[in-house]
Amino acid sequence: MILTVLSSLVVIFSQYFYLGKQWNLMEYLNNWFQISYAVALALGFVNLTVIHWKNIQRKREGWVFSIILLLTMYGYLIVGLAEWSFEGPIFGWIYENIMAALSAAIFSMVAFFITSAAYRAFRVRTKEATILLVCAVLVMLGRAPIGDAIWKSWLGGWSGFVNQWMMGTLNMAAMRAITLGAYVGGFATALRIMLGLERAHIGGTGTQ
Amino acid sequence: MERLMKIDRRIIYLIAAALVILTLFVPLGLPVKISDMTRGAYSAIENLPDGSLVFIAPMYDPGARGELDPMFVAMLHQCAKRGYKMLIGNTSWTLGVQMLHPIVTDILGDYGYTYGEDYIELGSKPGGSIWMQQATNDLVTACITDYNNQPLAQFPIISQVPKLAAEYVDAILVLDCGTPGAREWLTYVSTPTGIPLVVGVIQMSVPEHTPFLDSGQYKGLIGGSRGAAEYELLVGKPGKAVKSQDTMSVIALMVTLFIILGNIGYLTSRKK
Amino acid sequence: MHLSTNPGIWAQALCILAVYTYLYKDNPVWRFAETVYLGLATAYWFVYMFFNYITPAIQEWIIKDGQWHYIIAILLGLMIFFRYVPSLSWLARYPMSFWVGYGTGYVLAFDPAVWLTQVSATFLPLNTVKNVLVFIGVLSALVYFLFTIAKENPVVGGVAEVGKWYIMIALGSAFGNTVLYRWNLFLSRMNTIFVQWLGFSV
Repeated sequence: MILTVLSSLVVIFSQYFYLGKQWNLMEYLNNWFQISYAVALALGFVNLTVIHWKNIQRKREGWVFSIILLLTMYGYLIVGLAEWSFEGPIFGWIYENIMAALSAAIFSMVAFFITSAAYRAFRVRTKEATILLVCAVLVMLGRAPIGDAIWKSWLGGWSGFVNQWMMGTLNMAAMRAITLGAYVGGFATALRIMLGLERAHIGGTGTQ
Repeated sequence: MERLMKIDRRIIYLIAAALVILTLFVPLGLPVKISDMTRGAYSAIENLPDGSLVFIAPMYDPGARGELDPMFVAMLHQCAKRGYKMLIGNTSWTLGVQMLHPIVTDILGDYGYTYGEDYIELGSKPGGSIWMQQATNDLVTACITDYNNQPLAQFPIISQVPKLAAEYVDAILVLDCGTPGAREWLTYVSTPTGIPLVVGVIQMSVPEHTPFLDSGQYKGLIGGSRGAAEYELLVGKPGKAVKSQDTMSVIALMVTLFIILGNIGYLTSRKK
Repeated sequence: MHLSTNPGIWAQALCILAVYTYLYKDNPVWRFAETVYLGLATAYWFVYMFFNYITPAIQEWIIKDGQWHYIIAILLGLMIFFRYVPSLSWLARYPMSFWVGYGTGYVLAFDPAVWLTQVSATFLPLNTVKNVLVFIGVLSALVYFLFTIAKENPVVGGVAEVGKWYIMIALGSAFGNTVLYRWNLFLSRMNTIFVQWLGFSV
């Protein structure tokens, strides 16, 4: 608890007080954070190894894929360490042509699921759902040239109406409220942590 | 109608994919109307004083290239046409800068830019928001080397920018696809130092960034592939983004029709 | 049609096709692609951290500059691994305390300047339709999120209802934008397949 409060006070002191800036405490604290965090990131590595090693030992369903996972993980690690560089030719090639391609393809699959959901699941059961779907259709057609081809000039055309009134006013107001809520909530939680009212992160019983 | 409602989802996937692939080969050629939002971002960059120095931060990975690459290319063209000096670099988005190096060299080479004097590529630096903060105190200590691991201090342009501050940097142009991104640049650089921020974001992020444009914290916002297409047209270099707008039109129509058809079926079956 | 001879493009195309097999049904090819991605991503971040933080810290700061206090930072990070030793798992709380405290300090020090500007941007003169709509929208949506005030009160309930409409509009906009973005990702993949790999000119 003391460590939590001390580290947060050092950050605030460094940002808002002249002495804090003079002593350059932020630089040391930033470096401490980066180093300790970087070392601890190996935890993910260790965790995955432990879980999948148990899968392999007990021959649980999908244990073959656990072998593939561990081989890929440690193989890529060895490539990076062998080239002794994060930007080595083989390491970079694998990232650009395999990892990035897989990542983009996986994220793009959501498009199909959304479209299927639009046909099979999105129903105008309530007034709220109707508003949601109508706005979605207006925005989609407004953000594509087809909207302006259909509705050219009144209220600035489809895209003009969408950009100025829907995105720029109504949507913006709601998103501002959501953003403010998130910021204020984060601020309140940070204050509670600093005052010792919130101890879940150190295994406490939660809030006081 | 009931059979239509119970159609296999894989048929829907096939129809959708086929329509999208078709637009690759059969363009519709619909005109792209330019919005006030993109025009504002273009003007914010265009109206910087002559001889300005801008920091361009392409904060994205290969997955977002489809939408943000056209913005980056158009941005380089606009800044080069105006004769701005450029610092190009990012933090945490490691491969972004490697991918973009050939693009930067090609475009700025055509305008006669000299590396180290008119522009410099800082590479990708680790640290995210911590790096941003360090750069507002001392850029050379924060970066140490350029993208090619050459010590920064040897380049003449760096002597003009000891740190990221309003007296040295006239604008920061950020291309954002996640965290760390435009919000971090706003929180840790633009707000404390007062450097104007112009942002380009992916389509999905446009709603969450519009409040910052409205409040004036962003001086301009380019939104998604439509924004990229509009920006390309404003700069006078129509490219990939403009070409992709036909596909966006087909997608928008397709999903709209799916929603309408699905609900017609639902309402008819409810009546029965 | 002119098939690419670049092994990188072939690798990208085969990865994309392997992932899209999931759209037909769950199958070993998709699971293989998914597993490879997970393995590569985990190793990638560790290598990134190793060369960008740990190696410079040891070589430059500790050995070259003699700032030996950073060894304590390394030990602090290593303490998280005590969670695997039941009798000593309490030691893992120390690095967590430091990180949470550090993050807390950042939130308290830097965030207020950003969201206070958002607040002041809401309280504008109510002399245009836009300003009125924004003012009503922000306040009503905030009231909607106040779960500790009873919505049975007609005033609070009415304002929250207006907020709910605004939020529905925002969710609809978010959906519309997400659809376009995701399909744009798919379009980029099809560009890789048809243009870069199969060599069609479009």
